[in-house]
Amino acid sequence: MRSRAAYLYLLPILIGLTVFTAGPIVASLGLSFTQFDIGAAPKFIGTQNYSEFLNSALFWQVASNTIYYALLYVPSSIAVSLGLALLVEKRIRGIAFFRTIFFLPVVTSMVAAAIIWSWMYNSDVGLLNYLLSMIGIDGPKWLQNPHSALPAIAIMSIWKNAGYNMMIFLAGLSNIPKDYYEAARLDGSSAWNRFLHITLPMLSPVTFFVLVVTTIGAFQVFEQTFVMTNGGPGVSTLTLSYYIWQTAFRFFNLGGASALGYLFFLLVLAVTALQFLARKKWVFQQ
Amino acid sequence: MKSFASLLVLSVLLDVCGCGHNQTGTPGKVHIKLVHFYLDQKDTWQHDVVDPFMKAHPGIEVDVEAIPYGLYTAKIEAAAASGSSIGDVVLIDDWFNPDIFKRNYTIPLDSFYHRDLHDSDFFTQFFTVWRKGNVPSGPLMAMPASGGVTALFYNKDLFDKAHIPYPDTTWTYATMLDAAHRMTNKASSPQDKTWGMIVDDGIFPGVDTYIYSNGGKILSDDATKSEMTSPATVAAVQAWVDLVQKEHVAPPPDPSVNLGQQFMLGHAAMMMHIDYAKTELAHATFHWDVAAPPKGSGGLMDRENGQAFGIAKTCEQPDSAWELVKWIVTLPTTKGVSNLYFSGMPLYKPLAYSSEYLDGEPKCSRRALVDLITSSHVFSLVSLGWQEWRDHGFIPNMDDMLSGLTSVHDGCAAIDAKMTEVLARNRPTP
Repeated sequence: MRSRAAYLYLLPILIGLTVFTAGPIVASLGLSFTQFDIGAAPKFIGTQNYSEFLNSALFWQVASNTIYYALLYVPSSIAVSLGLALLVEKRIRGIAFFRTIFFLPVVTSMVAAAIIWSWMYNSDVGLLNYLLSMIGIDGPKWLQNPHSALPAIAIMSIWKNAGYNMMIFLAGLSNIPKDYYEAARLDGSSAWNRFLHITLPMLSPVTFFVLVVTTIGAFQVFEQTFVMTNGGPGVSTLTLSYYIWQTAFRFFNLGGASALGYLFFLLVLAVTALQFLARKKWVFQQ
Repeated sequence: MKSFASLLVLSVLLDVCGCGHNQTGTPGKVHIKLVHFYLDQKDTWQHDVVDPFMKAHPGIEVDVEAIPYGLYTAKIEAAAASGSSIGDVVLIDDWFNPDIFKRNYTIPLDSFYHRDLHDSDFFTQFFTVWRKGNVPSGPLMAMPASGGVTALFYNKDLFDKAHIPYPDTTWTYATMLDAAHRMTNKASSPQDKTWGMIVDDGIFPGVDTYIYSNGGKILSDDATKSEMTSPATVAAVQAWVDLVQKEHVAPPPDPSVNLGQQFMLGHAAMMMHIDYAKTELAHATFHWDVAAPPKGSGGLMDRENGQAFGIAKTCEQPDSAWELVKWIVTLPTTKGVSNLYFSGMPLYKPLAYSSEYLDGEPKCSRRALVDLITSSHVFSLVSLGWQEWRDHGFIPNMDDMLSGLTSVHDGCAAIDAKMTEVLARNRPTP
């Protein structure tokens, strides 16, 4: 009787998971082997969607844009977050204010932030180029140049998200026993050496978590490119998530978008698997 | 446990019985549901269109639902696909009408139109895009309400400063280029910099009008083939790219802000844009106006676009729905007409020439826009799959050409290849 009651209580979430999560995952796998434009019943075409994308120069360009963005964003974001965490870890008067300030972008709407940064990047009237002009520098055309557009988006994303990882690092830092630092200090170890040989290794499990989560987040970049560049100039900021959205909801190629979704999944899976494999070499396990 | 089971049974029963569902409408009246995406003008639509209609038609009750634009397109596409309905009278934008018409979501309106309205009262050159198959002989699948034309927007303050007369119907593209040169100021400080022109990379803010007015084409007349590699088209694209790369009177396009927003900054003297941009410029801090685009070697051509109202095939009262559609497009009260259709121009001539529209806010030479319709030839760029060839063919390659990353010859060839591939995949069914 008790187990029946338990199942009844679980029923709503099980129905939700089946209908809204497991169902679409299975359905999209099926759809990825079809030609489906919403208008007519899906037509089975085997692996044609996959082969078309894998043979398309645009797909590889989009995949390399996504990887390039991740390479720009992930290491810098982690470094900035860790730096901020080390700064605000100090127990000094008013530090809560700075913690709040650094965390503030995280709770700001991504769309609003993206619009503001678009204006800051404006080559004619933007704040950044105005500041550069004050020291005699003719600022770049941040979002108009295919070479600087993706790095510009990565900078904005780092500003937006660094506070989140900062909080995780802060939690990690507070868990490192202070005895280690005291012992190192007594042995005459410098601050840099303490950071290198105590903080970094002791923080490595947290860093690993941050790395995995941030990498997956980087691969999913969407709002920034949607709001700031629409994938342009050219296709220089067209990333996989945006490409999937375009294919599904702009071109109504649901079969193709499902196939792209699975290719995207495989890419993220491969990168995450590599990270897990490499973990043994650098993550310190107590 | 018992209470949980009772709750579950009760909820199921309530749902099955339909309790809680809204019962709308007054018995004895015909109920029509009007669905549109003019969310910002929801109250105007209710007070200036629907309420007067219901007063004039006491037997018809209209429910209005305003849906945000992005959601609206998804809903109507899904409804068209599934054969369901989002309303009896639906607003349709030109960019998604091929998908809607392909699926016969709306009923042909020719018999109603010929019974109650007359060609001579409308700018009928804008009707083709609303006909099935995008051909003049196709059935009219939605009643066009408004049209947009590409106009030359100009910053009067910059013209005055440079002592240049405002654009008029005698202007050619050479006149425009000369004026652009005289108003381009490459000052070192960003706030003093001005551009003679600003250009975009899309297919409707200017370049299309430029290409067609200079003898080129983007799409064949039957919307099934690319014309991007025709010599006249390549030459026109080259001249457009030269504005940025050779003449240096315009900056490369900025993907982060739309053309209207860029113009709002007051740093550009001219832009070619669909006349809807006048709504955006209502709050500009400088003086501006509109004029007809310059004439090219091929005369004056303008792209056909706009919005129309269709009657869903699921509508049970098409006669009453038509009365509403007719009311919307002819608007006997004329009230609010200057802002009703995203500030687009009414295609019903008495409305277009009404003082309510011509003197409406924001004030500008609206008469020049109306005259533009009568003096130009219109063309359409809407085809099945057009968004794909635009987003993955036209825009990225225009960007590369305008940025100098690729030659015009190669860029046009790349656009042609993409258009050909997409158009082949999206051939209209007979």
